[in-house]
Amino acid sequence: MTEQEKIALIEETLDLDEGTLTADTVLDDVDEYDSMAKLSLIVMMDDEFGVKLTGDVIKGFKTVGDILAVMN
Amino acid sequence: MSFFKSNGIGIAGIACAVPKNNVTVDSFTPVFGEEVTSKFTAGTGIKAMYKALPEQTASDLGVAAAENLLSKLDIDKNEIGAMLMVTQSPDYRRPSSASIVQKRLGLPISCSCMEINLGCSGFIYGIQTAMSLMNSSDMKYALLVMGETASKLVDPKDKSIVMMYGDAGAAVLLERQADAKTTTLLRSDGDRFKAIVLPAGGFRDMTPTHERFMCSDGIERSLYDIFMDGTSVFSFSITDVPQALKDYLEKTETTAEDYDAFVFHQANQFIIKQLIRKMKLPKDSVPISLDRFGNTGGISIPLTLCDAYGDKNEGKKNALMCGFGIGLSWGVTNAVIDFDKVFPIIETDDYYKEGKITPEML
Amino acid sequence: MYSNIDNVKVIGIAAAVSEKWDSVMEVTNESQEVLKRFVKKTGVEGRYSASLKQTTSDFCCAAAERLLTEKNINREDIGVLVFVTQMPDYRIPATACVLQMRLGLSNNCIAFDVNLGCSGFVYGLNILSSLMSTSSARYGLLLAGDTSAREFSNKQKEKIGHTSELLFGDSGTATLLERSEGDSLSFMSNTKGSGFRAIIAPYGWYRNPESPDGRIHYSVMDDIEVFNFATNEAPEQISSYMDKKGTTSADYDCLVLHQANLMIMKRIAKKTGFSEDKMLVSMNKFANTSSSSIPLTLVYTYGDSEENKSINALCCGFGVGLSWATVGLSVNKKDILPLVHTSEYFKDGYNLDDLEENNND
Repeated sequence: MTEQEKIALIEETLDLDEGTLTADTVLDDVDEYDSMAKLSLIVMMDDEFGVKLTGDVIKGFKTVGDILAVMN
Repeated sequence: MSFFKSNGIGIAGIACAVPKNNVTVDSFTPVFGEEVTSKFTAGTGIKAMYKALPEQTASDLGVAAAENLLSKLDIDKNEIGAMLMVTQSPDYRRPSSASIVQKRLGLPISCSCMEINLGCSGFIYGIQTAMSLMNSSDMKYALLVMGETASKLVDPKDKSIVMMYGDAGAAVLLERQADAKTTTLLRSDGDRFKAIVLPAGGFRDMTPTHERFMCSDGIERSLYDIFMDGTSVFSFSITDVPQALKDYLEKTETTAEDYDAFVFHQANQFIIKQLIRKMKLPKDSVPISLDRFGNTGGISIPLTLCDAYGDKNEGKKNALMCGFGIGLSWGVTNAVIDFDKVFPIIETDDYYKEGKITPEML
Repeated sequence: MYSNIDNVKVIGIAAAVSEKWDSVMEVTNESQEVLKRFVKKTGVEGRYSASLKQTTSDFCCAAAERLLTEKNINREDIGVLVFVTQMPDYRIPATACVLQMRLGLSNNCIAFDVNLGCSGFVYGLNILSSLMSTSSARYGLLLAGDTSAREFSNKQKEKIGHTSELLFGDSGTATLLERSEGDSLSFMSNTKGSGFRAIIAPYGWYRNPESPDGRIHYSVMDDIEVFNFATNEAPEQISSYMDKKGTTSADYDCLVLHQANLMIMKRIAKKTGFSEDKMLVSMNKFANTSSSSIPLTLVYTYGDSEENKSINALCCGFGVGLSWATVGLSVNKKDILPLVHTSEYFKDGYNLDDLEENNND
């Protein structure tokens, strides 16, 4: 998966229009990145990448780039 | 219908813990005067009790008792299938203290933990409930943990009960015993629920006043203190309770001669004397702990067993036990207990430091 | 713990809510767009909330009265009453004793409270049926519920709008068990006390009597830990249960999960091989009703059905503790009563005058 495709996946998970996010976007600036969005992220990461996100890991996400880093 | 039967499950061991902080009735003399304190001891038989430190909760006392028991019996904790906690003074509103006790004891997630809210009848109800859970599964052991810090529910100026309640914790392990046959009688009367009540802090009235008001016994209380209708509770203790004992003996086709020990909830010595008289019991077979431990609620039965028989090498004895009180709720049961597995009471000033919650933790 | 109790059967389920339903779309201090997103994300369209004077026991009492009357039960034959709640009427005595009186049950009916939330219905049923099996009681009554809508979460660190209060609803339920030759109930239950902080109301009781800001009646939930717990442990337990019973999702008419959150429920259904149309949902109308949610969902789905047909419901409650439990229930649709609405409350519960008059130590 390319970086662009991964960003598109995050946008879809967060219910955002395509092209809203870049790797440098600060998550605190994204209104839609609320607690429900984080749960959707957990589901997406588990289903698409088999990655289990814990609360501590999610707390560590400051930018979209941080999320991309674990999408393997 | 109020009789419960369990076969093949018996008591493997009992242990109790009290806080290190010993308080004598005499120490209240500067507050209430010598006449009040000596009259209190003369009337109730209570001379001293143990009171939890502000940091110690019921679950700390229960954990201390349980840790002692499990290490003395050298049990594999993974074989404990259920843990039942009985308390009226939980750590938090939620989750129940059973969760904290499970964590601190290191019980496995396969051990189902739950908590019930009962007082002086709590030991009898707790034993029967734990036996019932064990009865419907194949677990090797079930653990009953009890804890009470009634001293925290009482107004410090309430001379009728501040010198009455002692704090304690208990743990009882149940195991499979092929020959064990237990009959338990349990009764409940909610009509008299106001006989012992702490009105505030629940959800019936979420904003009760802290205002103090004078009660007809000349003692000021607020809705956040325990109210006990002494007359009604006394009357219950000397009518409903002996009736239950009589019904129990009749149902089990036994008499007082069939039992080696009679252990009653340690409410006050006058009540116990009445029970001895009404049931014609041999005084030496009725152990007393209230003089040194006060009224420890549901824990008073296991505490009295530990106090009377811990480390005394008495071997196996058939004990008839009876708890009665708040609810109103009461029960009678018997058990053949190996008194070599009833351990001396330990003292503790330990408490769960991580239990204190600060806003940053949430 | 896995337990099996022979000769018991569920013969009636009832649930009660207030007469006041609040719609999410009518919340006045958020934009319609935020509200629409909330409904879409959580699945909650609204919920019932108790009046100021109503407690959980009032709803359970109303549900139980309806159940006992409809089924024409001789109250003298009820031997065990278990009340599961995290919101009792008083600190002490147990509210079950008050309920025993209000329902006119005999002194031979034992009564006590169990402090559990979302797993409470299943745990309560386990305790009740176990006690019934060691006695000669003909009937046992499980009352379960909470009035969680009264609380609110203190979530300063999260972007949660005013709608977070609408995530919880108030309800009380009553489930009647009868001694019944040939029937049985099996349960699987677990507890993980190390997760005690995941859902906690820490203040006002004996570990932290004072709250830093003076408010004692609130709960805090670690959403992510609870989500991970629910979506991993619950499906594992359900699958173990089915393995133990030799069943698959095909053997059940429906999957009834604690109505925590739609995402959690869908995930559990997916992991346990249940299609979404078998997964019952009631949280759209009631939000999260704690230990009421499983019986309330059955009432919502089948309460108006007069069909004389037995259904097999696989039920799983999970949450505070952390605690979770599964049971396979076989119950007839006609034994599931229509939803009860009530504005009643126990007036004598507020009457404390006799405490002052009778106290003559």
